[in-house]
Formats: sequence, structure tokens, C-alpha cells
Amino acid sequence: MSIRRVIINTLVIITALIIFYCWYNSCIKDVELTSTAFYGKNQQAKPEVKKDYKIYLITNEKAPQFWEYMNQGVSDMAKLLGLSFTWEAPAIQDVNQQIELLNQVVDSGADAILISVLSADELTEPIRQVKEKGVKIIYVNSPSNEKGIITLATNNYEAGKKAAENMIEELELAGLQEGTIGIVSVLKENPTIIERDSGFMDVIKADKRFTVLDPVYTGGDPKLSEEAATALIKKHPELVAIFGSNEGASIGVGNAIMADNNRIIGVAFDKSDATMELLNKDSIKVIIAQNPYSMGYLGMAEAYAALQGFDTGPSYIDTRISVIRER
Amino acid sequence: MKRKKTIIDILVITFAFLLFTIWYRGNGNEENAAHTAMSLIKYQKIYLITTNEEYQYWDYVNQGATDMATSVGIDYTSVAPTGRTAAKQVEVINKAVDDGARAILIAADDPKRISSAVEDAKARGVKIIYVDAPANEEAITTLATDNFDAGIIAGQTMLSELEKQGIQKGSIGIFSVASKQNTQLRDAGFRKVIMEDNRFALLDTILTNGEPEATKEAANRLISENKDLVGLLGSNEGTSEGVGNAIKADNNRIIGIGFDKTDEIMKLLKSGSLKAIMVQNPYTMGYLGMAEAIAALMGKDTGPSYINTGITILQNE
Repeated sequence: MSIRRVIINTLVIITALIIFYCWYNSCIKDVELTSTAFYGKNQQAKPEVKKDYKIYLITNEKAPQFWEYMNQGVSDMAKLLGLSFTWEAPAIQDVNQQIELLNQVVDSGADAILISVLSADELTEPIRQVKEKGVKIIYVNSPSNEKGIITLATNNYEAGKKAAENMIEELELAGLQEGTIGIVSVLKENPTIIERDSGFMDVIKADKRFTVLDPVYTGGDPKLSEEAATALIKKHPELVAIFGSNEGASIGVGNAIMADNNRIIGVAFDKSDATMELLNKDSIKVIIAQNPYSMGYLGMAEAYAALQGFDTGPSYIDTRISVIRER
Repeated sequence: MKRKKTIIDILVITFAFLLFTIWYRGNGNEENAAHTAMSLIKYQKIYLITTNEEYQYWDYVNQGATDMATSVGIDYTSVAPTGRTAAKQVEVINKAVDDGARAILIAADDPKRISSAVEDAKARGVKIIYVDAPANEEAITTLATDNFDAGIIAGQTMLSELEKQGIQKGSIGIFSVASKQNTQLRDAGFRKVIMEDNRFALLDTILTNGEPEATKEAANRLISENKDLVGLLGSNEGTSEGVGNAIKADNNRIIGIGFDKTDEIMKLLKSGSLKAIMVQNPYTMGYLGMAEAIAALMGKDTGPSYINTGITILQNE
């Protein structure tokens, strides 16, 4: 075999492989064309024409990873069902901005809205008006006082209690029997935060060994939360632990504790890359993780059920929590 | 000679190409064993395996699973053993796995006896979601009624119905199904409330096979043997039908509380033979259970290990 032949053959093989590679990969993306050929199965055809529903997800804000997970869940279910949706949120946690946003999406013809409200009381009337226009309301994370189709959320009072129980356990492990506990919280009106903080405080107060300070509200901004936590540490030499009420607050708390050489016990809410890193560095001892992906994924399934006239089942689904500890 | 060379060339090229494609697809499939791309999800088989074909309750679970499956366009099959036995359900599970099920929604007949079949299915990469009743073997998630809680609500409803009639004492009977964990939990929740109330005597729970006819006969006997009987609980669809019909034959003298919504039970509720029924959400178990099965196949976050699908109370008014 001449060298020339070998080279030509190799080139032909490589070209063929490149062509195959491109074709195979594109066929994975473009199932309609090719996968039946690959898998050769008979499929019940997906209903071809689907009503062009306008669906919105309105969250408290966009930045924390918590909302990204929720958006991912909504997005995955939407894609499975062949639906599209738009994710909206106020630039910062601001009740009036959220009400404005809600009215905007209704004006642009929303059929269904998945919403996490920033204030149960202040959103009640706007939601009632939206419902009157026939818009299906699915609550994710936090409901208003007006009834929706369904609420998919954490039982935040119980979750707050769980955070406090784990904090006490960590304090005992560290041999601490007395001292002051601080809370870096988010927004006074936020219903999930109210529940979470009161569950937390009820357990600490019932224990009687520790004193709990009034929550400091920082809007869930990590930087402001860090400043608030640092101020707490300076002001209260007897401070033994701090609770962060949401992802942003927890990141701030963890960073302040890290700057203080992990002397203080940190308990966090919500799992994100940042809180997990702080857990690995021991600046946070326990994370109470919610299930934002499931709120979004199952919430979108319920929105679709409501639009299609299917049975939407219970009025509340507890999406539950898990406790993550450092090893 | 030149022609022979060309043929050899073509053969070499084809052979190399085939080797590569086999290797490449083999590789791809290995990845797919763990996760299925969303675009390929439609080519996965999902099964629903319930405990008995005859109950309308399973039709609702099936309807929910069907609606989600059809909306997504996934290959879906619903099967149930004929006759309610754990051994038959194990057979059905094994057959579904042999037939290429990638995920199975299972309503466990017997938590212990079907666990090994579930374990085998899991070992072969099949994703398991429990609906209505879990087995002992761990699965992706369970969508079910919190049955102890449901029993408590049933007990509270019984007390408020007795109060409406001005009844302050007497005995209360319970019909449950042997080997069914969910009815036993409801029984326990119900007993807790009645016991704490302290005014009524609780008779020993009567275990039936869950068939309406057998339950009706047993309830007839209980009514004639206990002159002070004031209330009866049916802890599932079959026993509720039986209890309701026995109360009907006794001229609705006794307060009946039942579980689950069927055409027959709704008639008994209307006629007052059952005063209230605890309605579970079987449709939601099927609908969201199917959604969770799909999430599991895609390797997505399936969230909580247990979802309480709750109950609502329907009253005769």
C-alpha cells in the first residue's frame, strides 16, 4: 500500500467521521427527524396544535440562585409540555414594584401566573382583581390571602423551627449553654420570612438558655447582610450564633462569620453554590434546603392542568425541606 | 488491479466507519443509561402498576398519569394484577421490567412482599415512584395521602356529625383491610381522636378483604350484635361502599364516614347513608407522579422524598 493511498484513505475516514458526528449530534437535538429511525418505536402522536397560552412566572427577585432553580423547574416542565413562559421579577424586593409587574403581565394577556408574593396582605387585592379577569393563579413559595388554584411551598414555620433545633444542637456540640442569638432577615412584609423567623424564635425562646435578638432586615442583599452580621458581632460580645433567613442573608452571615474566624455558629437557609462553599469552610454549620426546583416544575404542571381543565387536586402541597450538615 | 485496490479501500473505510459508529453510539447509550435528554424522553416507556383493576380510585390515578403522559407525548402503559394479591403484583412488576419499562409508578399492595421486586427493578436502572402506598424499599419519591392525618380528620368529622345529631355516647366500629398499611394508618389516626374525646367506645377493628359485599355482610352483623352502635368508619373505597350499604339497609340510623369518591359512594352520600367522605387526590398522585417519573429519567431534581397530596371533606347537605 502506497503512502499516498494510506493518506487518502485516512482523510476519507476522517471526513466520514466528522460528517457522521455532526449528523448524529444534530439528530439528538432534532428528534422529530431522526429518532424514530433510531429507536423505531410507534409513538402515540403528541397533540399537534396546542393552545398558545401566555404563562408568567413572577418571583420576589432574580439574583439569588433559589429563583434560578425555580425558573429551571418551570422551564423544564414548560418544554416538556410544549409551552412557553416569561420570567419576571422586581429589580429589588419591593412590594409596589411587584404589584406593578403583576398588572403589566395581566395587561399583556396572561392566561396563568405562577407567583411568589412579597406581601400576603398587599398582594391580596391585586390578585383578587387578576382572578376576576379569569387568570389562573398558582402560588409558588409564598401565597397571598386570596385563594389560588394551588400553593406549592415550604411549611416555613416548621422550617424555621427545624433551623432553630439544629442551631441548638450545634451550640450543644460546641459546649455552649448560654449567650445571644442574632437573626439577619429579609423583608418585614414577606410572608415566608415572617413564618420562618417566628418558628425560629419560638424554639429558641422555649429553650430558655439563649436570648434571641430582634431580626435585622437587609432585603436579602448579601453585602448589606454581611455588614449587619458584622455589626451584630461587634455590638454583642456574648453573641454565639446567627441565623440567616434566606439565601442572600445567609451568604452575608457566613462571610461575616468567616471574617471572625468561624468563632460563631451560622445556620443558613437555602442551598446555593455560595452557601455550600461556606458550609465546606465551616462558616456555616447547617443549611436548611428547600425545593425551589420542584415548586417550579410541579407548579407549571399544575398551571397547565388548570388551563386544560384537569383536576388540580389539593389546595396546598408542602414541598418540604432537607437538612444539610457539614461532615 | 486498480479496481481491486479501490474495493479494498472502500472496505477499509467502511469498516473503520462502522467501528467508530458502534463505539460512539455505545458510548452515548452509556450516558443515556443515567440521564435521558429531554428530546428523547418521548421514547421511554413508563408503567403504572396499581393493586386491583376494579376500583374507580385507580381510574383517577390512571387518568392523571395519562393526561401528563399524553401532554408530554411519552409511551405509557397502565397494568394491574387481576385479583388483589402481592404475589400477582410482583409478577406484574417483573413483567413490566422485562418489557423495557424505564420508570414505574407503583401503588404497593404489600409494603414487605413487593420490596424485593422493586429492589430488582432498581438494580436494572428502573426509576420507581410510589403512588398512594409505598413499599419498604426506598424510591425516588412517594405521592400519597398522609393517612394518619387523614384518619385524624375522619375522626374529627365523625365527632362533629355525632354532635349534630346530639349523640353523646355509644360505640363506634371501624372497617379496615388486612395487609394494607394505608387503611391501618387511617384506623390509628381515627382511634386517636375518638379515644382522646373519651365519650365513645371503640370496637375492635374488623379486617375484611376490602370487597364491598363482604364488608356489607360484616357490617350488618356488627349492627345487629351491637345495639349501642352509633358510628361506622369505612377506611377505603370498598369498605366504605359496604358500610354505606349496611347503614342504608338499617334506615340510615347510624353515622357513616367513608373514604374516596366513586359514583356508588356519592349516591350513598346523597342519600345520607354516609354523612361525610374523605376524598383523596388520586388524579394528582398520577399526574404529578408521572411528572416526577419524567424528572427522574432526565436526571433532574425530584425534590422531596414524600409529597402529601392531602384530602378534602365532602359532606351530605
